[in-house]
Amino acid sequence: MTYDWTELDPEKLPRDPRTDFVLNELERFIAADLGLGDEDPDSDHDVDLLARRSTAFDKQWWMAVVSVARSGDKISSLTINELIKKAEEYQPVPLSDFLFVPREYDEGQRTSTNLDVITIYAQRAYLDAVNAPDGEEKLGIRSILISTPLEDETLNPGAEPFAPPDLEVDVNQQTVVVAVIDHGIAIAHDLFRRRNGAGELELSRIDFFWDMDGAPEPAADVQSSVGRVWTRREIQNVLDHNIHNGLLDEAAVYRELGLIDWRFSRFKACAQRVSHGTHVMGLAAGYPPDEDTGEDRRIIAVQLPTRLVGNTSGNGLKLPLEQALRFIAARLSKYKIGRASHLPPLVMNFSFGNFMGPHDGTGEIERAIDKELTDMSAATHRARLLLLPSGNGNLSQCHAVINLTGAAPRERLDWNLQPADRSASFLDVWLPVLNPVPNNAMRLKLKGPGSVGSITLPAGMVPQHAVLIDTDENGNPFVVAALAYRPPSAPTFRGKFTVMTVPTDHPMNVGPVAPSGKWKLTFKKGAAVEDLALNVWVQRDDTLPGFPEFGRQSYLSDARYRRFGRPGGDVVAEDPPGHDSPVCRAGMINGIACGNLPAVVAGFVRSDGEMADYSAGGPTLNGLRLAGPDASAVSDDSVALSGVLSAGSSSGSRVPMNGTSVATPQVARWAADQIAASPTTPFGRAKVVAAALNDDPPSPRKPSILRTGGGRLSIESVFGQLRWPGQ
Amino acid sequence: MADAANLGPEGAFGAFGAFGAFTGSGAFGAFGAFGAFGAFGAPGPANPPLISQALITNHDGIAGTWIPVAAGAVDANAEEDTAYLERLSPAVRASIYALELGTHIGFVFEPGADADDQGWGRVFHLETTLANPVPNAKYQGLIAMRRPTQDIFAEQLTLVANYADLRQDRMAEILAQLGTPTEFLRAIAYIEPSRTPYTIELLATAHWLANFVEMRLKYALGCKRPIEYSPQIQPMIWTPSHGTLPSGHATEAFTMARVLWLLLRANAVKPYSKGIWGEMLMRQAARIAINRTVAGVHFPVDSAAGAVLGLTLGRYFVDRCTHAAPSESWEFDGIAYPGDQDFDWRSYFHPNDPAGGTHPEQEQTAWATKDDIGDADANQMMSAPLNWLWGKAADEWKDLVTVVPAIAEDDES
Repeated sequence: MTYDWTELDPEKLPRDPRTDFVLNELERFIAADLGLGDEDPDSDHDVDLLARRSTAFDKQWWMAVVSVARSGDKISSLTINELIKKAEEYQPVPLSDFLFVPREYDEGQRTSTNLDVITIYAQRAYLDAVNAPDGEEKLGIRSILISTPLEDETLNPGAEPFAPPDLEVDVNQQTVVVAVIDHGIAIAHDLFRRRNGAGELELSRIDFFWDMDGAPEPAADVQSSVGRVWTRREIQNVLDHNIHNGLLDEAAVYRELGLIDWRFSRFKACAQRVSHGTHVMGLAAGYPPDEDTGEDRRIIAVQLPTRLVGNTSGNGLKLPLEQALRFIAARLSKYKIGRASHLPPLVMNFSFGNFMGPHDGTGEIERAIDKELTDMSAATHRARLLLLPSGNGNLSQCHAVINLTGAAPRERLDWNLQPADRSASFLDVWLPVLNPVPNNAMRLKLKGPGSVGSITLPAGMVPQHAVLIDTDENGNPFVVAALAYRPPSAPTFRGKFTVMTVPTDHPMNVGPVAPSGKWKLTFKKGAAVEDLALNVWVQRDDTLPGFPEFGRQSYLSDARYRRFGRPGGDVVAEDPPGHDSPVCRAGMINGIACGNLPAVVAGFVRSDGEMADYSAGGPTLNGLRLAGPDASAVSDDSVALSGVLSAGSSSGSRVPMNGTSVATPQVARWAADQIAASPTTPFGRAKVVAAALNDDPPSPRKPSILRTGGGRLSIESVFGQLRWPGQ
Repeated sequence: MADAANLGPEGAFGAFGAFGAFTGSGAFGAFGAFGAFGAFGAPGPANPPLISQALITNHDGIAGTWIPVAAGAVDANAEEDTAYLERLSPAVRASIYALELGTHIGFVFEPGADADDQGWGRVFHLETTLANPVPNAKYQGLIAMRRPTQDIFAEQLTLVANYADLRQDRMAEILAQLGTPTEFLRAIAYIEPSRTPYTIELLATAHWLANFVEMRLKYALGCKRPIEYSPQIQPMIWTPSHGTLPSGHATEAFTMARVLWLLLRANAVKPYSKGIWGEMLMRQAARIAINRTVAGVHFPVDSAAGAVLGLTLGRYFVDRCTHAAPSESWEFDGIAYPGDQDFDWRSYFHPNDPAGGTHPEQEQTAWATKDDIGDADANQMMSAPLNWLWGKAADEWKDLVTVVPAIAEDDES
């Protein structure tokens, strides 16, 4: 336990500190979490364990969302084929074996010079090379996001693009396609089925189900680079032979679909009574089998990789979104309404969020969403709507605004790392748009708990990087934390400090962990700028409901932040007038919900009309979304009856779940109804705002625009009539 | 309760007492005596000292002068008469059933060829035919069981570890299922102590048989529990002292589920011949069995062995009750069980739809096979007390509609 801060050689700094930290400093934790090197039960566990783990870690495949570098003309992008070529020609050794491009990208996409954000699968050798100082020049990748390795068994690598499946789907004029991207989707629930001629619930309303956890199947109707795609035909085959005595043998169905297989340790969300994706999809597109509307709501479901969802220390949840949206677009392009040339309308729901990101719409995922929605809409005049939740972090104390002025050039803030946090913790400090950032614009001092000393790094146009080294009992050094600064770059143009720590705990012997406790941040403005407003966000890393214990949420604190109005009283759900703490509730909005085009939904309590305490709001730093959410919908039936009812994992079951995750799909369902009533009318984010403004006219009791957006939508309860009469 | 100290066989028998507890009648409280095995023949109602003291002075006060009784003044009871059973307390009857069942079960352990080879635990039905003074007797195979290899258990352990994910979800069920499966079967069939006392007694008797056989097999096969293979299983309940295979919970639940469905159908009452009744009873039995794996005290293969044993014993029990000659013998060969095979009840029983003309069937797999007993003696001795109990229980399921229901097709399983 001798701590030492070391500044790294500025010539050799990785371009993205966070990617470097995950790939290289978290290796010992990730490798242990994944059981790498432990595969052979006959080997002696401890002998050469670290070496075995490291070798196995090198072979892991990562999903990475990258932005593609511009070509020589600075306007058009490199093509995917050029990226592959650069990997082949990389010196001293080719890196092409460590990269594969999703085979969903067809020749047209592989030769396109109009790329921005794409997805790749890569191993550490390639990712480290991309992240090297010369990575953009040598490999053509401008920025990179990673999370945690994918499961080998789920990958279907190859150089050739897939032949596009010739799968037309016949629908009618009233059809609205509802796409749900989520995790833990029990697709065989009876709310997603219909009766066949014999009255058996053998028909599925799910046209496509992409299970990113699935094992690739060469005989499947639709091929995918990761996981398994099930078509309606294939799903119905499974349903067909698993109905006995009128009941579906769901254990057998999910075993056959690979969703619940106890031979594998992967967390099986659908085996739990409550599963997030089932509940959300029930609200978005679940209809009792005999309800007519269900006939016209066709479903495309995408289930995210469990590892990426469960590992909350990275960017996991949002990474697969780019591929998911492309998948939905590709499938939808084959839908046919009779002989008409147009495609059916589409409503998409993604009920996940995180805390980090620039919050101005310039993050990779936010850009990918906006581009995909734009492309989808350009191909048709039918509705293309994506709904995102505003997030549940309102009270999480994971955001701070630091105002440094000439009169008050210094501010302090504590970042609290909880003990027994098995996930890494991250904190970003964003400077305002300043290009260039004057030298001596500000300095950030970081002091760790206990005997951990401090390090101070300046902001400017030069990258800075320091690591905190601890030693184990044998004197071997291990990085346990890092502080990095990177100057502004396109398209965000904000300088950024990042603080990163390894977990504060691990059940296995993986070497030193990070000390838990208060990490003290001191911000000091230099003389080079007048006023400076900094935005701080902390990564969400709490264990998700139902998942095994993993992360514990780190949070910001400062004595001026008042959680309660009075001792024993309610929590204060909005920053009060005169709030003088840098830690604030405002601005805790879901980091991926800050783009231009998605409709963002907050949550309120039906019984009293108040916003749910956890429902996060704006402002954002995006001029096209200053307020934050666009509308709000019910996320709790009442203060006592938390959550709203929807599908449990098993057919016939209804369970309550709360959060903006459940408010959002109710708006998706409502939007699908609106669209079905007038299929040719475009329907986007603005329509959601307009409806909210109409449903919730100005009144003294109307929640603030930052929390509720346009207002509280009046949407009838989907499944809650019995629970809360009069809904 | 016995299970509180982890002393009960499956911790389950003590729970029979619960039937007394929840009615307050006390009559079924006597089933609690099962829990204490040593307490067979325990008195029914308690004798409060105050009442006894009063009865003594009361006798002195009013009995008067002794008048002798003439020999012919009272007629003797009929011997070996089932009508007498009705007057007995359930606990006393339980002893009678125990002898009727237990004396017809035989057991042999046949060691493997060498030390590494798995032996066979063989359970027999003792066929007896009347002869004086000693009946003729012949053992017929009922079920034979061989334990899996250590390789198979080691592989099965990964499934046990993975099932731990469900512990939070299943905790209430797992704890409630420490007692008798009747509590969970009663949620499917309309069992209630005042309404169906003999059904409860019949199920308790079937439970007794299942326990009687499974414990002997567990002892013979001596299979280690998951907790003995890895310190990382950390079961969420006590691991019982007896061996892991076959699972007692699986054996008992499947025995009772099969008995109950046959009982429900005994009077051809309309709904019960629908396959969904069997489907639900088997789902329930499987859920109980799987919950033991979730808890960390059983391998999936234990449930498979228990299901095969339980289904066999359930059928056998009903044969004994209905004066039918047992006609099938089963074999569970643990070494043929694939190491990564989860437990799926549907591999062992098809609750086909008797109402739809397809008969429920106990299914064969590579590791669970059937032999017909070709030489069963049709004149073998039958048990009048068990038949009496079956009749009483079956009467509780007669329909009360005024229209006589159509006779459903006969079904055997």
